[in-house]
Amino acid sequence: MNRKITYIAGLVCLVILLAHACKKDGAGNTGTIPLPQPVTLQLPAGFPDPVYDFTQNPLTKEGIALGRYLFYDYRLSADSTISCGFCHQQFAGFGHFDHPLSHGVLGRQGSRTVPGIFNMIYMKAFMWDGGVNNLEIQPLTPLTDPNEMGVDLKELLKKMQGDPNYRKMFLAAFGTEEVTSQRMFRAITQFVATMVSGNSKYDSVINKVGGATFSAEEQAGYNVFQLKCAACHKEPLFTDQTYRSNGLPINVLQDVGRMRITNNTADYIKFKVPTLRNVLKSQPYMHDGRFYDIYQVFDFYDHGVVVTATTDPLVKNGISLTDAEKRQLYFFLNTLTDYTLLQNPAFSEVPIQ
Amino acid sequence: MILRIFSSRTFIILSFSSILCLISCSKSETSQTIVPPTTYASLQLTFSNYVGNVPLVRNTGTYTNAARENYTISKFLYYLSNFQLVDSAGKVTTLPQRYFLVDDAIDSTKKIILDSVPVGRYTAVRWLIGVDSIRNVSGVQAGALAPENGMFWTWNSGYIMAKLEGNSPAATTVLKEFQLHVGGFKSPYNALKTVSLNLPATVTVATGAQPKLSFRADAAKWLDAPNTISFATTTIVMAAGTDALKIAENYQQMFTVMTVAN
Repeated sequence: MNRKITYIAGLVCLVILLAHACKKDGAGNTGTIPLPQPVTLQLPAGFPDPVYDFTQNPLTKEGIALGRYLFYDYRLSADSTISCGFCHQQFAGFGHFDHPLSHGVLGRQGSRTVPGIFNMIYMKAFMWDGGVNNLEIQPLTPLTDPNEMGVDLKELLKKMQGDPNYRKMFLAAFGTEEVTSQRMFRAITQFVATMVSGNSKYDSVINKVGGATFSAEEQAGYNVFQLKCAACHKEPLFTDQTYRSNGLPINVLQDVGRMRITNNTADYIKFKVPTLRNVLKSQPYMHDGRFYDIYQVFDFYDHGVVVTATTDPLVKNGISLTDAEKRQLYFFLNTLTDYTLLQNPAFSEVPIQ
Repeated sequence: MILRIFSSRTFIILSFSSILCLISCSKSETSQTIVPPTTYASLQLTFSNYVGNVPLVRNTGTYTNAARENYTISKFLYYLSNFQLVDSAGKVTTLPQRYFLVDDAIDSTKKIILDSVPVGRYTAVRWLIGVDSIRNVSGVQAGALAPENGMFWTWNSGYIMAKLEGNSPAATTVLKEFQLHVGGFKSPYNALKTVSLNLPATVTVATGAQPKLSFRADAAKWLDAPNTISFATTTIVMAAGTDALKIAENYQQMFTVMTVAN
């Protein structure tokens, strides 16, 4: 009998509590919209902690889906020709395959090559010159640059607010139909945040997955890499995220690099060290895409370096590479291709309606 | 069965546990509510834009700077943030963080309501012209700080703290247009400036009343002192740097208190 009483009392308690909780919940939620589903990103073993702070922008299934749709929506550009994905092609490691300089609306051209955008959550700064300081605001630059997507942000937001499909997706991702720039940029950030590349053959070998081993040539290439490249292209991201002048002769583009950002002459023609992950899929190379083939890059470091006041001491005397070493490096770099990034259906283009 | 529940002993236990439940609920409710240590009220600030001694008339008003160059103004915007109030004892009260963008073209932006002001009597007011460094590095922001307001440098992340645009025959651009965009939050080009103004009368912030402080913002001060800005040499400023710093030093002086109405 006593146990029964306790049971009933507990039940009454529970009902009261639930009613209370429901009442509170009802105030903040209209009750009909399901909450966005949280997503946990699987991060590669041995990678550092992400730099991007997810606390204000937790990943959700709906947020990522909205970001993906935005990423591939060409209507975000001034003349509906250029989407983010137009230049950031999945098969090219989210760079622009075979295009030295970026393309833009009205047939315009930018002044730098499209950088591959994966592992962005690990980056401290963005763009070749590090001018952008937060992943969330990164898309702002290509969206509004007249040589890229060239859009007026206010106009764009108005247009999106008028689109029932977007209203539906914003509702699903953020709880209301309101289209704001903050929501838009956070959704794009969510999608880009999921583009993580850490599942190449190299990673399998390093993490001893499934008995993976380098071939003799790959191993030899890895040794060359560690000796001659790894100081700047630091593992596991294959960039140390510094800005360096690698001795490229200044060309007709007259790009001063990071000096434009810092106003400091010591930063003249310095650019961010790019990652080598997926490098064989992301030609052309260098900030201005001047080399189409990785062997041209090897040759440049071997005998093409032009020393200026800001040339990095590590490349000042060139980096000598024999033909055998170049071949070995090629085989090693090939192990950095991550097909789970390049062929992941979760990143592919979506139809725009 | 139902009847048996209401047998005296059962009923007592039942009621007791229900009450306990309710108490625990109401207790947790109380702990969630922050009991304010002081009472809060609000304060209204209004800004009237001037050029020297005359109210600013965009596009049509013609003015002359210290370098004796004529000019007109088409855009005049500035951020205000990090408000503080000072009482007669010198005690500084920092108000909750708010960001306002005053745009001469939008009248509603010229009236600012500061809420959550502790009731009291204050003799001075302080604020920051611009957006503090933290918000310059914290990703995409909303409201007054939203990027579509056109006050954010995309290519070199950071807010434009204040903006003055117009035309002058002395300007070196083809269309004789000048654009002074002042920003920069990092040393050595940190253009953040604090304004500190003593009020001509004590303002009393109290519940049930909304005292009003009115200020004048003089756009001419951007160009005059301590650094004379000539459109012939400074036509376009669109980056952090020495030009932006010079103008920021000037516009730090642009605000004056007009009235205090309790």
